[in-house]
Amino acid sequence: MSDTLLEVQGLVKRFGGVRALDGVTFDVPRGIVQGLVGPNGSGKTTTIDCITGFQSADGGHVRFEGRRIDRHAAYQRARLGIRRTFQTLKVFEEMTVLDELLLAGQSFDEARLIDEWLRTPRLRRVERAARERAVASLALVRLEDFAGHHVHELSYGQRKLVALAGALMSEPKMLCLDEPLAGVSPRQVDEIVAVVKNLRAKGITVLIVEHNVDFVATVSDEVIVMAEGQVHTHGTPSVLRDDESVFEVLLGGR
Amino acid sequence: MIFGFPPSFWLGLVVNGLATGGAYALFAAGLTIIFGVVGILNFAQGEFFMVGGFVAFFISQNLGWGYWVSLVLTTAVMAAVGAGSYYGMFRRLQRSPRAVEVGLVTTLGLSILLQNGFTILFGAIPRSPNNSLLNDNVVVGGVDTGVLMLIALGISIVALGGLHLFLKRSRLGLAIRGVPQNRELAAIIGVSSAKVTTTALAVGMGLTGLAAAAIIPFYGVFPTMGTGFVFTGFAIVVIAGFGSIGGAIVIALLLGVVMSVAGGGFSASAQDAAPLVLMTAALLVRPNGLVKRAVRAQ
Amino acid sequence: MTTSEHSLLSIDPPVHRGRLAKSSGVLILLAIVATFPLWAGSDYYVTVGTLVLTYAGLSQTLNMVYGYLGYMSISQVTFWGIGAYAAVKVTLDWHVNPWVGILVGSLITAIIAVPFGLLSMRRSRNAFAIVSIVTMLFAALIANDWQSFTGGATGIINLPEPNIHLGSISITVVDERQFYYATLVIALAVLAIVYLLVSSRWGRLLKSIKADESLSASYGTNNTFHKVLNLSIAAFLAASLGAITVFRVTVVDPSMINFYYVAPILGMVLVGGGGSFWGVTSAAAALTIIPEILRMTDQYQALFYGAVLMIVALALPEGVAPTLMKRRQASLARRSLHERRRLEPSLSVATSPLGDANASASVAAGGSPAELDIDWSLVSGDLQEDLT
Repeated sequence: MSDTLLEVQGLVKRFGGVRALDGVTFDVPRGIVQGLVGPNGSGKTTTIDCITGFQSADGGHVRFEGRRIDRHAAYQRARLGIRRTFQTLKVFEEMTVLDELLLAGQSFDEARLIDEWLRTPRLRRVERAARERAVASLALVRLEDFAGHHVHELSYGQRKLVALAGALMSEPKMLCLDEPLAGVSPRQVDEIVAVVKNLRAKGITVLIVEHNVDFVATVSDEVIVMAEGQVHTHGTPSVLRDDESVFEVLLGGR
Repeated sequence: MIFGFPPSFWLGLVVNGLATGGAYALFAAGLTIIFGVVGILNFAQGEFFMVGGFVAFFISQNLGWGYWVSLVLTTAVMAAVGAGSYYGMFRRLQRSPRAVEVGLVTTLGLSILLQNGFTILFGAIPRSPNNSLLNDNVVVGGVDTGVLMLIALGISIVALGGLHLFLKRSRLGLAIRGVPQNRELAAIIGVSSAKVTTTALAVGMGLTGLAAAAIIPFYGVFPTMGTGFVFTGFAIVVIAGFGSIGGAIVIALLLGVVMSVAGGGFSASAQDAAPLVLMTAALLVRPNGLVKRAVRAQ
Repeated sequence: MTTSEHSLLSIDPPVHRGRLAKSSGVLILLAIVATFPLWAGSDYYVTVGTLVLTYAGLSQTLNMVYGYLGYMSISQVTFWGIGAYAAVKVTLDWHVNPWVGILVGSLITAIIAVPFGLLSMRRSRNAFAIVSIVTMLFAALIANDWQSFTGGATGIINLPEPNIHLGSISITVVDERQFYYATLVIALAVLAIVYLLVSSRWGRLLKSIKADESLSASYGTNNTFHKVLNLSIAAFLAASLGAITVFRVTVVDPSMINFYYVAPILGMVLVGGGGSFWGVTSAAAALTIIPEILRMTDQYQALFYGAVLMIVALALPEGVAPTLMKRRQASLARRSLHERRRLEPSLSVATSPLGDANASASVAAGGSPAELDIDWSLVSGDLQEDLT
């Protein structure tokens, strides 16, 4: 097993005349929590989109476990083990929490279409296992008691955790969290810190895009600071405290 | 001799094709404008065209006011109908969260109502208003063609020219062009107000009415005349890309010629198939329409 | 037992109770439908019955694509027509039994649907609607003009009877009542297949694609594959109905591919509520019978359906069934919290046919399956919604 899980090389992405990404290069070793910070417009979310397949880069490579994935569709990358949450919270509100999680894991289990259509014993076996996994996922985010609730009954922060739990249903190798703290109350921030540490303990590599620098400093093993579509600094969380140029970038914008 | 016919024969077909192409162009331009501003595909556009035809017939034949008056009045009447349709129907549709499907179904329903209603009222047999110029031919540059067709073509050119001026120079025209480019921004600025939408609908329907009035002397008027036009009209809009008025006009003229040549020189099937073949080809080559700046459909 | 397991188990009793009521309801309905020709009265009524079955099936195939996937598929009628022609050509050219022709013809149609789906379903829904309409007209055109293959405008007449001779069993299908049963067999198969598919986990997947394609992609779903598969299956089913219909009228001609059939099925899906299985079925029955009762001629029938479309689209965008259901839900919400807790998991909200204002749209929530049962309503709970 190689040490590097994700390699991003020279990513370029243009929107009309604007270069959102201008040659982004970094590696993510297996098993760490990698923070990704930067001012608005520095290209953080676009980077995540290009890694997970929701945007296609105009140039550069993305390698996952040594294999190039930049031609892969988003769903294929999800199946390879790269899951993500969205900056704008995306969940199905009318479902129960449990059903949402089952749906999130549905495309990853061994049940074939025929099993689904005919309700074979195999499907029931798979669903049972999925249900257990869902309960475990919920436990990871401390929401076990809410399995039977409808998603719309939960608070915003709780829904974000549900989305996260959904991403965990497929036992991902890498989880990309896009602004997990956005819109979340200060009390719930601690929850999320605990969750991230939990994920790390389980060996899941996490890539977090966030504005909240303190949070990133607390949970990350490594930090990437982006500016103007490029990687400005790549180091340990201490750069957030000690590096002058980083301050300028983060406070100055773009 | 080309394919067994003299060049003048083909040129004649081309001219005839341009005449109907001009009507298609007016129709497609109207369709595009309405789609651009209202955001809804109007499947009943063909039936509005048909209604325009009946209005024109009524004015020129029943009232006896003749061709030229019918052109002006039909345009005015259909423009009014267009403006009225905003309050009657389109405003409601715009507000719906799933405007695409609601609009589709509603306009489809309307089209069925109009088509069958008019069939019940007037019968299916085509008629055309008496026009002294109908049988006059003129030889222009070695090409023998109907005078009326040339006139229809001329009318289309003038109308399209007027449209161009309106869209480029007037504030409302600018607003009409602006809305499809960025719907959200337009909404924020307040551009897509009742006034702009009503104007767009009036212009779109007016053009459609004009097209009908111009060609019914040689095309005839009957309740199902809208079907062919809407079918071709949508093919044009798909080929040109959903937002491009200029593109729609060019493609319409081109298609008119292609269909005329195919029909007159080869077979009726070829004529009917032409829009489809071209549309499929265009979809394969450029899925979002041939014209680059065309707005991506919703 | 953790709290969550406890709350899951607590939903079982209502499910069981209701299921019995629902199953018996279905059985009674089946009994009525199956014995209809015996007590119908005249051949005319039998024909109306056949029409109801046909439209019920055909509108469900549209429901499958439009209600569950969100794609306005005018192409259902195209497939119905292509299926009819294919079945006839296979039967006549390969000299096989019409039933074999129907099966093979439907398969051929399903295969044709694949490239069509791949080409058209990747675009916006607007574009798909236009492409499917234009394709329908194209198909009608080909049927009309390709004299040598399709018989042109006259079509192919004097179709053979779909009799069955298997060893000692001999079934003739010639008169109205016999064709009623032949249609019944196919229509029931269509309805059963649609129900089986959309109420399964796959149906939930389809709804998730309809609701939010990015989200479903992030959940590992191959959107295009499922869309095309859905369309292809719907095409197969529509084709089989078209095929049996032409054998019944003993002629297949271009009038099969016509807006004449589009308006009714659109109306039925919208009135019944896209995504609601029983809603659409009831609407199909109602909307077929009403014009017949009123003895409408073709033009007035078209007016009727056109009016239905406009009224339902403008006034009741969610369809009659879901609107009624929402009212029922609202009244249930007034009960005590405890009761609601017990009942809620078995209620579902069918996605409105014309979508939701809610950006993170609604997907039918099913109660999680009880461990021990054979599960009809694993996902969409359409069964359950009618009984609580």
